[in-house]
Amino acid sequence: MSNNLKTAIYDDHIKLGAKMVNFHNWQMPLYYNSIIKEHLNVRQHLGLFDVSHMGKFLVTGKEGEDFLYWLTSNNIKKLAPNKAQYTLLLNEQGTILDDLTILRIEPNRFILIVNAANLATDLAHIQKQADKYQVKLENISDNFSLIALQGKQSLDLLQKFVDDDLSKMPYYSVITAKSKFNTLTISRLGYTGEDGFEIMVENQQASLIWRELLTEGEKYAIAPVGLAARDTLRLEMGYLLYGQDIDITNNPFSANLRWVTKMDKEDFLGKESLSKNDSFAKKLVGLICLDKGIPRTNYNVYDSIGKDIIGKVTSGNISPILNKGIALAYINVDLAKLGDEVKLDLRGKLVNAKIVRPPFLQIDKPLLRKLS
Amino acid sequence: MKKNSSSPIKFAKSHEWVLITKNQALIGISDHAQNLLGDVVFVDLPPIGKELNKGDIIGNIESVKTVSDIFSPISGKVSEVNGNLTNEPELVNSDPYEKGWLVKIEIDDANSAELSGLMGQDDYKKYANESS
Repeated sequence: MSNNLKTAIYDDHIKLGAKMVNFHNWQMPLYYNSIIKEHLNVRQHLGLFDVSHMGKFLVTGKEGEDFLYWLTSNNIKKLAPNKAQYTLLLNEQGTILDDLTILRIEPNRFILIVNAANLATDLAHIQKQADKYQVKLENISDNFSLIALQGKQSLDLLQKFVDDDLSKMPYYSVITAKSKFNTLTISRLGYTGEDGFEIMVENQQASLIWRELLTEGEKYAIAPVGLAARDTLRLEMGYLLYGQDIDITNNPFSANLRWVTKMDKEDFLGKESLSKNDSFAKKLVGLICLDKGIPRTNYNVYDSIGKDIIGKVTSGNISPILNKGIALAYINVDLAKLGDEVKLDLRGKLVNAKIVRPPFLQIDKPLLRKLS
Repeated sequence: MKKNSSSPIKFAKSHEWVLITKNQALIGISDHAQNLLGDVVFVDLPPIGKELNKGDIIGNIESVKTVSDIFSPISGKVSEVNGNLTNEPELVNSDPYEKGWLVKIEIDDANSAELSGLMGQDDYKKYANESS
């Protein structure tokens, strides 16, 4: 594959002065100005993200529901039309091939949003599994862009562009909306913990809606946000990143993903292995530094007296809101007790950290609370 | 840094600057370096009294993106560290040559061997442009 893929919004990133980075063969904005300012802007105001690198598959056909019931770990039969669901692709061994979001557009029309890094392997895997079902799988990644609008005033801004009443949309709901940018698939969700929307739009319209959201969003202090702040924002919420916090070596239980692995389902790919062996040696926990310092990927975690290595950081950084080092780490399951102290080896220096259950901070979403 | 008694500012290939006044050397990182690092969020500095040889690691600077070692451009003993950076590490970004200085070291003698390999402002500018 080319290592030089560009989204339909690429030229706008360049004009905005973005520092670009190669992310799984995509030329993506890492940051535009300051990672910290972009992070804070999302928490305080509004941020706009180009996440068009994400893979997008369309699954249609009369056995669509049955197929996804088998293919994914969560229960698609509990997902009503116009709703979205976070779920996993497992292999036969019950380990994680990818994490994804499924948008149920119609009873038998589903959009799967998968990680860019896994697009090719996911496609092959899903295609192979689809053989036994009356379904059609289409990779629509090259036709559509994906823009995330995140922050407290997302609703006010996006409402200016669509007639449908977005305030009626609960969290994790989806609508297909007519707009001057043609049809938009709008889901109320995101990867930041803030209220917000992800907007799937035809490539031809992507740059236009991007620019209009930025222009119209000025009065809400909107800022374009790059992948670096997307990473610190998701880390503050304890959201997992495939390839870092989960991969093909993890079973879902070790990664706290039991809530999307419905063992009470009749059957799904990977269930047999998981029901035979659901044990795991290491468990994913949150760590918050009690001393100054910033944990990073692959740093070792020691026991509280600093004697034995008990685990490893998979994601770490500073929390710009807490101004403390935070991390996701896998540690020995018998030592993964909330509130216990451990030590982090920050490049040879042992600092104290506490085991916590993510998210690292609570985001109040009053608009969404009203709906639920 | 416009102190008359100082020697001109010198830069190391690893992007630190040093300004020598009598037997004191003030050390920081260049504007180019802070720009590459992005938002500085943590600066780890050595204890006062630590003996450093030219090229030794003084400490490190962490930005959101990465962590970088800081190398001493000159030999000497740490006499002062910039305590303001504990609470305001962003001074390294906003004012790398003044308020964002890192350490002060006492030097025995700024002899020519110590200063070898360091660049003047113009040469450094050229070097930084080429290496970025």
